Amino acid sequence: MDNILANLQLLTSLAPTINIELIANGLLVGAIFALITYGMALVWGVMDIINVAQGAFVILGGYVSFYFVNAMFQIAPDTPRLLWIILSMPVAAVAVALFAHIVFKLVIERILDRDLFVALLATFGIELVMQQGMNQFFSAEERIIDAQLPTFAFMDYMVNIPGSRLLGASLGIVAAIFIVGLVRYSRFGRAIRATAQNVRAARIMGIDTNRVYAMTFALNGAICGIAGSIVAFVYVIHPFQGLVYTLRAFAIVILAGIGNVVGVIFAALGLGVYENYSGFILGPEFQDGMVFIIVPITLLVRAWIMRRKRQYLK
Amino acid sequence: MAQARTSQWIASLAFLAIAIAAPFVLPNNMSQLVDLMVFILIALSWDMLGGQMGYNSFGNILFFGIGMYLVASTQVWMGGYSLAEYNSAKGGNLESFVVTAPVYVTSLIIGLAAAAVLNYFVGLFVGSQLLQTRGHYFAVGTLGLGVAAGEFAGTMDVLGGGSGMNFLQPPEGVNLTMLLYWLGLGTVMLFIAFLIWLHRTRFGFVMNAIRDNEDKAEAMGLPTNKVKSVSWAVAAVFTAIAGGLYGAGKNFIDPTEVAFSLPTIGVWMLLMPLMGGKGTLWGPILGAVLFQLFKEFFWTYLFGWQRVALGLLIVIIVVFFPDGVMGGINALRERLFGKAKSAGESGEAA
Repeated sequence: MDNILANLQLLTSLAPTINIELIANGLLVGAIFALITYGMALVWGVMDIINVAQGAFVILGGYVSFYFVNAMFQIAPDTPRLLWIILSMPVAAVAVALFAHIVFKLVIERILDRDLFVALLATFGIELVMQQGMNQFFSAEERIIDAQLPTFAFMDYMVNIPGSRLLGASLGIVAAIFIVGLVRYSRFGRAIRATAQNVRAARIMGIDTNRVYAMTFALNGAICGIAGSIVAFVYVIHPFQGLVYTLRAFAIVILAGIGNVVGVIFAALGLGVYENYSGFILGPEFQDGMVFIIVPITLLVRAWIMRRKRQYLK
Repeated sequence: MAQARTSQWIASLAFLAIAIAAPFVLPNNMSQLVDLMVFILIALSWDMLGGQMGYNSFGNILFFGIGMYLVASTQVWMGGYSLAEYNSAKGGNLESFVVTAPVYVTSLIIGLAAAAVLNYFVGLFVGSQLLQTRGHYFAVGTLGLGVAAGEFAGTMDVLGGGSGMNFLQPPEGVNLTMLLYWLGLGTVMLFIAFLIWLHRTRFGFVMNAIRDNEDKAEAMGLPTNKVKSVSWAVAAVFTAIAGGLYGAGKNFIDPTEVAFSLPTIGVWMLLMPLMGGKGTLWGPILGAVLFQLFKEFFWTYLFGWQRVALGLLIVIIVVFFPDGVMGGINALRERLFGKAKSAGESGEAA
């Protein structure tokens, strides 16, 4: 209790510049969360599948990126690191998209018309297979790509922002703009949205909805791959960390609602800031728990609000 | 209906006979048998909501973990030691904390009773709130709650923090696995008898009505909210007892790996009713037995890859055999003898 008060005092009076650092770091990590959540909301909205394996896809993307960058350093040690890190994004995207497509063909396709609980449990199984498989293949060691970027200091070294976070967030924003643009303006994107709005009508208009489902799931894989390659050089990659990313995405989707892109962005940035603050005030051991508890609390608040209108969350 | 009831009593007596014989037939597999009793308890209590009421919870692990911590703490406290002192001594001289055999046994039983009572109210409270959400929102919300509980348990220094806590060492003269097995079997038989009785009461029918159509049940004036939270509270009681037994058997509590371990026990307790056939009385029990066999097989022959195999098992069961063994038996019976005559019976098996 005392250290919490001391931390609060630090934030409010002793060293208010820490606030800037916390908010900046929160917003930067929030950009990655937004990317991951956009993929989850896409699959949820279009196919009515809640993908618990989302986090495992992200981690898989991180491993692909890690091994790609390391291999490239070995082959061509004199080339700039940044080039390979940026190039690893499309590589991871393609690799995870292919993996996601295999998962779709093997499992997801068979549970499309079943209820959501089946999807939850089946993707949970996939998450377990992936996390344990990655643990066997890549070992339980924490991996990180060293981007060798400087840490930028502002305000007489009171505010420190690692360059890798800045790079990661900006790459994430570029990727997000590209993907949202794809869904908004391309023919494929229009087919996705038509399927999400009304499957029957989309079929009547000649859209191959099964193909749309497959493409959507692969696109989600690509998004996770990109997010994973960013996570690999900004944070760390560990086989068992997937569920944390999944639950963050849950929290953001529930906060924002499905199909609300602007809401997802704001909720993701907000969650990033909230996470940094709770980690700082309560101590780092509370950080994950405070994120997870957001999921039931948001649901409860939404349920209370709807109860007054005699409705319920379904 | 009376006939069905008699056959269920006969089946439970047969189960009891097998369970009593089991320790004498398999004396070398006692810890696996204890686990089996734990699994039957958590599978049956998950099925109360998931199978009978249509609320698929990922968060029953919450009660499991609370029960485990509570039993361990009660034992330390009744042994006359301070919990904080006991947990800070971990890793070093835990041997100095000794209790006599009668104290160990009574504190274990009182701990289990305390866990049962406390978790009834935890279940009632959490249920009255979280059961306001339906369908997959309930599943996702309970999932968040379950993992959050593990993280928060890991921050409490009085409970040993992130590195967990040990159970008291059983003193000389206490055959721990035997004790846990008979306690577990007693609770299982109590639970089975309770469930057979419950599903013939109005309360049990309201549970099924909620599963079939909650809006209609509510419109008929049935007390759906009360039934939902009380059912979850009862499920919480038996899950907590299972948690206490499991923890005492394992002798060690890790907040996220043992007590509130969603990726292992937390998912297994859903898988077992699905394997056996959810929404039936004997499905979860059969599922627990099958699951324990699969698990032991994987652990023995696929060491290192056993968790991958378990994950694959989940996917395969969910995708290809969602109705489980009992569902298969019922489908077979319908094909051979036509539809079951009693509407209540076939509705229950659905």
